[in-house]
Amino acid sequence: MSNTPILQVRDLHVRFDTVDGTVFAVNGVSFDLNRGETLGVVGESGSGKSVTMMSLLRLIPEPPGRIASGTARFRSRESDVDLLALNKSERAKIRGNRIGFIFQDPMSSLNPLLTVGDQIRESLEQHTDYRGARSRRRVVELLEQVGIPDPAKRYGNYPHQFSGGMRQRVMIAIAVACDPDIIIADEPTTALDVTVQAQIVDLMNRLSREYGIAVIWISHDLGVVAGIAERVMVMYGGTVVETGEIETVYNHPRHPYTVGLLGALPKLHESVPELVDISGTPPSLFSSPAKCPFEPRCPWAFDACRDDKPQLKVAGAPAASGTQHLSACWYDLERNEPRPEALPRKGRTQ
Amino acid sequence: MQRYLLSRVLQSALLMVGVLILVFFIVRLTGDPASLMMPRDASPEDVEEFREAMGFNDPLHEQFFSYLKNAAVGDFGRSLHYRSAAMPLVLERFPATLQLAASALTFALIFAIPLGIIGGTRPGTMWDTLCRGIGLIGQTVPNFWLALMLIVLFSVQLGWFPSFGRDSLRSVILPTVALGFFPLGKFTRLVRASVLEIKNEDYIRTANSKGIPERRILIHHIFRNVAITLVSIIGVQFGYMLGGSIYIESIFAWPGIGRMINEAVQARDYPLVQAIAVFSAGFVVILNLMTDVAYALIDPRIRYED
Amino acid sequence: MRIDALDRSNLNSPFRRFLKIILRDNAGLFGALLFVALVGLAVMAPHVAPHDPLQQRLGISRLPPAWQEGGSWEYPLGTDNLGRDMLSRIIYGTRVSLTVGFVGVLIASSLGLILGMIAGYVGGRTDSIIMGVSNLFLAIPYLLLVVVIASVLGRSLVNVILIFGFTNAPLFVRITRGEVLRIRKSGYVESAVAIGASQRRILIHHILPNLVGPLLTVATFEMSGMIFYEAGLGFLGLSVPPNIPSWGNMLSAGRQYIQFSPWIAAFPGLAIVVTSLSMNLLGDWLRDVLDPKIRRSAS
Repeated sequence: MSNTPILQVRDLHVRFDTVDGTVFAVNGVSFDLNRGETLGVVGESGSGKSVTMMSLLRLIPEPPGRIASGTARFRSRESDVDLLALNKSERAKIRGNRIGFIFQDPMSSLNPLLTVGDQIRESLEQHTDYRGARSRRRVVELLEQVGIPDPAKRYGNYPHQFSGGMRQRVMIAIAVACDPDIIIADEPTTALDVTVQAQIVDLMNRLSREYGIAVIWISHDLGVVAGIAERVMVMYGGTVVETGEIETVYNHPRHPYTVGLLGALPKLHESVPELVDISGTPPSLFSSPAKCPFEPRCPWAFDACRDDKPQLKVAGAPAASGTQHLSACWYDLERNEPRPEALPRKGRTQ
Repeated sequence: MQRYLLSRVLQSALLMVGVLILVFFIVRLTGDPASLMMPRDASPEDVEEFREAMGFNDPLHEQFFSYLKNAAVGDFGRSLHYRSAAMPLVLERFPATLQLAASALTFALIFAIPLGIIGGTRPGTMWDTLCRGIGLIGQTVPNFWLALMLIVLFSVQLGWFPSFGRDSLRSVILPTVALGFFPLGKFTRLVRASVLEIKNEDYIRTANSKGIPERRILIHHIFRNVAITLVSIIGVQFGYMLGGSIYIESIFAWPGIGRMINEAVQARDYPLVQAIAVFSAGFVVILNLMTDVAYALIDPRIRYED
Repeated sequence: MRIDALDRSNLNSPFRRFLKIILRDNAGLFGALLFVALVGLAVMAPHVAPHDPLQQRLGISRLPPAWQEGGSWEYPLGTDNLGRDMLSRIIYGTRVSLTVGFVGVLIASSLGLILGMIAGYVGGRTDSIIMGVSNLFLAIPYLLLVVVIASVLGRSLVNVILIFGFTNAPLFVRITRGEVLRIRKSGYVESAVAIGASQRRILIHHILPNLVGPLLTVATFEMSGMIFYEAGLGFLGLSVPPNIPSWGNMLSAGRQYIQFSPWIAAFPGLAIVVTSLSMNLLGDWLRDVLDPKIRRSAS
C-alpha cells in the first residue's frame, strides 16, 4: 500500500470551448505521484500544466472548460476513488481537506473582506470537528507554523495588511490546515521577490517533510523546481514531453524542448558556450495535435514529427531510485539520429 | 480612515458652496429675474416695484453676498405663492417624499437582489433571461408613463388601489412601484454583473479549493462583496428618485417636495424653487457622504487606511 | 486563385471575431435595425404619416384605436382630444425626440471631449477647476436641475437641446479625462514619447482612437436618456411649445383623459419605450463589441 502512488492520472483530456473555437488545452496527460514526494511540473504559460492540475478537482471555469476524458485515481488512508468521477459533495470533501491548493497571486487569492484568521478557520471547521476557542487556537498555531510573527494578534488582520510573502504563508496555512495528503502549488513563488521566494521554498520543503505531504509544484522556472522537487515532468502543448528524476533530466535532457529550457536557464557553475533560446512562439492549441506539438520550433524536426504524435518512451537508464526517464520525441538526442521506430514505418529518412 | 473621512467632509462642504452659487445664477440666467417671477400679464410698474423689493436692482455682488449670508442661516426668502418663509415649507413637505423614496428603494432592493443573484450564478438559464429582461425593461420604461398605465390598470379597470392621495397603506403601492421600477432594473443589472465578476475572482477559486459549500461561498464570499458595490450607488439612486418624484408625486397627488417643485415652477415661485433645489442637492450631498462612511465601515481596505 | 487565398487570410481574427459577435447577438442586431427604422421614420415623416399631424377634427375627437369598438382604420391608433391623428403625431414626434437626442449628445460629447482632454492633459489647477464644476453638476439630482433651468429659459427646441447638451457634458468630461490619464500611463504611449513622437501625433494617433469606443457607447445610452428626459419635460409642460407634436406633449395632454381615453397617453409612452429599448440594446452591444473592459464601469 505504501508503495502504490497516491495519485495516478491516466489519459486526461481538457478542452475549452471559446468564441474562436475549441482549445485543446490538455491532450492525454498521464502521470503518477508517489506518497510524500515532490513532483515539479515545468512548462511555459499555455503548456497546460496548471489546467492539468486544477482540473483534477474541477477548479477550472466550466464552461468554457470541459474535462473530455481521463481518470485520476486517488488512494489516501480512508479512500480509493477516481477524482474525476466524484459528485459535487464528494469533491468538496476532498478539496482543502485531502488535497490543498496554493495559488500564484497571493494579492488576489485571499478575500479582502474577511480576516486571514477566519479564512483559515473556515477551511478547518469545514472538514474537522475543531470549533470555537479550540479552532481559534489551532489557527494561531498554524499561523505560527508558517512563520507569521505575533500570530495571535495577526489572526484578526485583513489580507491588505499583509505583505505578499506573508499572504502566501497564509495560503500555505490554509492548504495544510487539515493535514492533507497532497498540496498542489501553482507557481506559488512567481509573484514574489527573490529573497521571499527562497523563504517560501524552504517553508514548503520543511512542512512537506514534517507532515509527509506529497507536493505538486507547478512552475515555469526549472531552477526553482530543481531546488525543491525529486522528480520533474516537463509539459509542452498540453502533453508531457519528458519526465524523470530531477538530476537526470537536468544533466541529460532527452527532449529538444527541455534542452531549450535548460539552454534558456543560465547556469552559474559551468561555462556554457552560448545561451540557446527557443525560437518561434508557443503552439496554437486550436486543433487536436496529430503531430508533435513542438515540431514547428524544433531544430531537429523531420518528417516523422509532422506525421505522428510521439509517445513517452524510455529515454535513458533508470535512476538509482528506479525512477524511469521518459521522453516523447521521434529523435534520439543521445545518439543524434532518429529513433528506429520513426523510420521504417514511414519508409523514408530525412 | 480619519484622513479619508475628513477629505470627504471637506469635499462635500465645497460641493454645497458650489450648489448655492449655481442656484443663485440659474435664476438669473435670463438676466431679468423680476419678470421671470412675476405673472406674464403684470404691468411694468408692478414688475419694477417687485424688482426693487426683491433687491434685484442692487449690484450683482451685493445680491450674491446677501444671498449667501441668508443661506448660511437657512433663509431662502419668502415663497411668493404661500407668502411665508420658503425653507420651512420644504421641510414640512419633505417627510412624505422621504417615505415614498425609501419605500421605492426597499421595493427595488427586495426584488433586485434575489433576481440579480439568480441571474449571476446561473447565466444562460431561464431565470437569467428573466433577470436580464427586467433589467432592460426597468431602463426603458419612463416612470411617468408607467405611473399612468398603473392607474389605468389598477385604479380605473380593477379598482384595487386608489389613484391619488396619501391616506392609507394602499395608496403607497402604486407610487412605490412607479418610482421603484427604474432602480429595480438598475440594481438587478448591477447585482447580476457584480456576481458574474466576483465569481471569477481568485479568492472565490481559493474558497472553492477549500471545499466550502456553494451556498456558503455565495453568502460569505460573493454577497459581501456585492453589497459593497450596491451601497456605493444607493446615494446616487436616491438622487434619481428625488428627481423622479417630481412626476410621481404630481401624478399621484402625493404631498411631497416633488409635487411642490412642479407647482412652484408652474406658479413661477422661484424663491421656493431655490429653497427646494438647495435642500434636495444638500440632501443628496449628505447622503453621498454617508454612503462613503458606510463604505469605509464595510470595506476593511479603507477602514484600516491611515 | 492566389488572390483568393490571400483575401481569405486577411479575414483573420479581429474582423471574423467582430462578425461572429454581431451575428451571435440577435438582441444587438434587433436594436440596430430598430434604431435605423426610427431614423427612417423621422426623416420620411411627411411621406409616411397618413394625415397632417396638426389638423384638428373636433367631430371625431377621442376616437379609440382601430381594433377597439368604435375605432376606424382611417385612424389606426385613434385620435386625441382635438381629433388629431395619433399615428401621424407619433411619427412626427420621432423628429423632436431624435433631434434632441442626437444634437444634444453631439454638443455634450464635443464639449466633454475638449474639456476632458484639457483636464487630462494640462492637469494641475485647470484640471481641478474643470473636474470641480463637472462633479458639481453630477452631484445635483439631474432631473431637478433640468426642470429648474428649463422653466427659467422657457419652452423652445433650441433651449431644450442646449440644456441637455450642457448638463450632460460633465459625464463625458469625466470619461474622457479618465481614458486620457489611463492611456497616457500605458506602455505604448510611453514608448511613443520615448521615440520622440509629438504631442499632437500622440493625441491623434494614440489617444483619440482609444476614446472612440467608450464615448460611442456612453453616447448611445445618453441619447436614450435625453429622449427620456425630453419627454419628461414635455409631460410637465416645460419642453418644446405645445403646438409641436412631441411624445412628451402628447403624454401631457393625454394625462387628463386617462380615465376614459387611455390610448392618448399610452401610445406616445410606448413609442418612448421602443426608442429607448432600441438604443439600450444597441448600447449594450456596442459595449461588448468595442470594449469588453468597460463592461463593468458603465453599469
